[in-house]
Amino acid sequence: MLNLQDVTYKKRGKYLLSGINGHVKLGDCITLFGPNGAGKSTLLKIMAGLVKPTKGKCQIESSSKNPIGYVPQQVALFEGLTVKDQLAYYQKITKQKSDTFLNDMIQSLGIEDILHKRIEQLSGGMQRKVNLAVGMIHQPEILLLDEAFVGVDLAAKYDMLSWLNQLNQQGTTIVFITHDWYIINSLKPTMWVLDEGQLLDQVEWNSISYLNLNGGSRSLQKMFDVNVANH
Amino acid sequence: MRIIVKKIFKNKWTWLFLVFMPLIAAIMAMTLVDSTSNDLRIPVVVVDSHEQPITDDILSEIKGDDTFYIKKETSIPRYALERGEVEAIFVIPENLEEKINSSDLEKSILWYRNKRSVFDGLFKEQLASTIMKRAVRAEAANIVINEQPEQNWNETYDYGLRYFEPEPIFQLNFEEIQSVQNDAGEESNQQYILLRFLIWIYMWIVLAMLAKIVLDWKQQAIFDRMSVVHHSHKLRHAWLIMTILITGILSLSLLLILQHMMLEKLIWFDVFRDVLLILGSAVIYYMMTYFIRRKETLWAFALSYSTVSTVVFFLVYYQFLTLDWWTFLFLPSWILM
Repeated sequence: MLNLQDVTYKKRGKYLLSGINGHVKLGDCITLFGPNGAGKSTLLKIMAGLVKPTKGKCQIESSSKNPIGYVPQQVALFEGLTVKDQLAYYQKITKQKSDTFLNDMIQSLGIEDILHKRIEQLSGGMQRKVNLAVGMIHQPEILLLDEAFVGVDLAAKYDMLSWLNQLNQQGTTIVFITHDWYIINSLKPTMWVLDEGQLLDQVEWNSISYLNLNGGSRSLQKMFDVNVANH
Repeated sequence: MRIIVKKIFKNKWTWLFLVFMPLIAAIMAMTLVDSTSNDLRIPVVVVDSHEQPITDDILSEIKGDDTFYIKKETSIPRYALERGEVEAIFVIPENLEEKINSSDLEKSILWYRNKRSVFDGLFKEQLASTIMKRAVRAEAANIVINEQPEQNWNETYDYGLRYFEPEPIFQLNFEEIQSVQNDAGEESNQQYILLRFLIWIYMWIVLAMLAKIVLDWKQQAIFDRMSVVHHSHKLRHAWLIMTILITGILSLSLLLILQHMMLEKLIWFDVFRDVLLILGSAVIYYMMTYFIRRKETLWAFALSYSTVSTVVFFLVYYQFLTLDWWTFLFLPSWILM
């Protein structure tokens, strides 16, 4: 579905990504995992088509007009508009006509009570839920989430993860960035481990003990140590 | 469009104030101009500590001339002269009527003025003219009575006006009046150019605030999100249309009001040129939103460009610079063409 061939990205003389190769299949659940500055957000933006790689290719095979749903790190919503207005606006521009999916999503995410509230009146967690809903409004085949769970309380996180699990089981591909082991353990993704712009390894979430971290940075090793300590 | 209108009116008071500010300023300016033009009369004080009826007669004769704002006092208000509230003070002597009738007027009126007094000489001439008219008639009546004692002095005095109709001592000739009108026309034209420049500066600020909305959306990654779901720039285009509408209507209204206030007839060429300048400014901002990421950079750009443009405009305006190709890179210079 999505092919990365020798993707390299250079900015201001510095390589943010070097020779990334990978393949995302329909229905996959993948997390881009690594310390800050590893190139995760840049790789996700390349996957979304927002950034063009300096070298290499990123190809998407899809028959859909809008196969990608992108949820940025920021709460990308219009201030001054109600939740209902936000959803209606994105529904209109994406030409999404299925109200069944929209209503299902509103119910699953638990945002039916805040539809008439303006974005700035919502808590951080609720804003994140709406941010996610807007990114998924057109039923994308592949959903790209850039730290979509930052500042979300456990109850809201539970709603969001349940909905994402449900979508993934129905065949939606999910690629997400997170530093949160709780989310990784809930979504049970394949981990693409990135460090200093390089893809070190691809492992299943429950096989990280087989991960070869030789050559990885100290920050990366600490990220795995945290998970070991939690268990 | 709805999104943009809602975003603009999120802080509706700011925007309402910003949009109505020039109208409020224009109304205030018109009120001030009206009251100032009423006060353009020359303020003078006439002091008559003896409150003689002849003083009232003379003043009522002069009051027919709207050039002066005459205040009558019984004591000398030196403070008003020191503060510049009046141009001059004229002190009427005791027994003025007797002095006039006996033509004994030498150094009879005291004239106080300060260094800043400019136009008080007009009143001096008018006062002198009025008194001299009476003095000349009285002198004529005296001569007649000396020659023919049987004649009535008052009748002769009244009769004398037919033959002694002295022209006012102070009089502007035609050429001088013409010269004053030309100066006034030139001054009005300079003010018209300056006000057009101020309208551009105002619209530049309005445009900066509109451009800020785009940068907000850019910083919030709204454009990123829209680029993914829809490979068009609908939101940016809607913003551009909205900006053109707001700036077009606002600038057209301001320029028409300005021309109505300053000129006798509309000059559509000026209106279209100024509207195009403002729309050109909108295009500059639109282009900048593609390159600028941070609001601070936008403010820095808006401030730098407007400052340099202002400097260039005034250097050309005061003829320290002549219009050249590079001066037209700064949009207000086009006003001076």
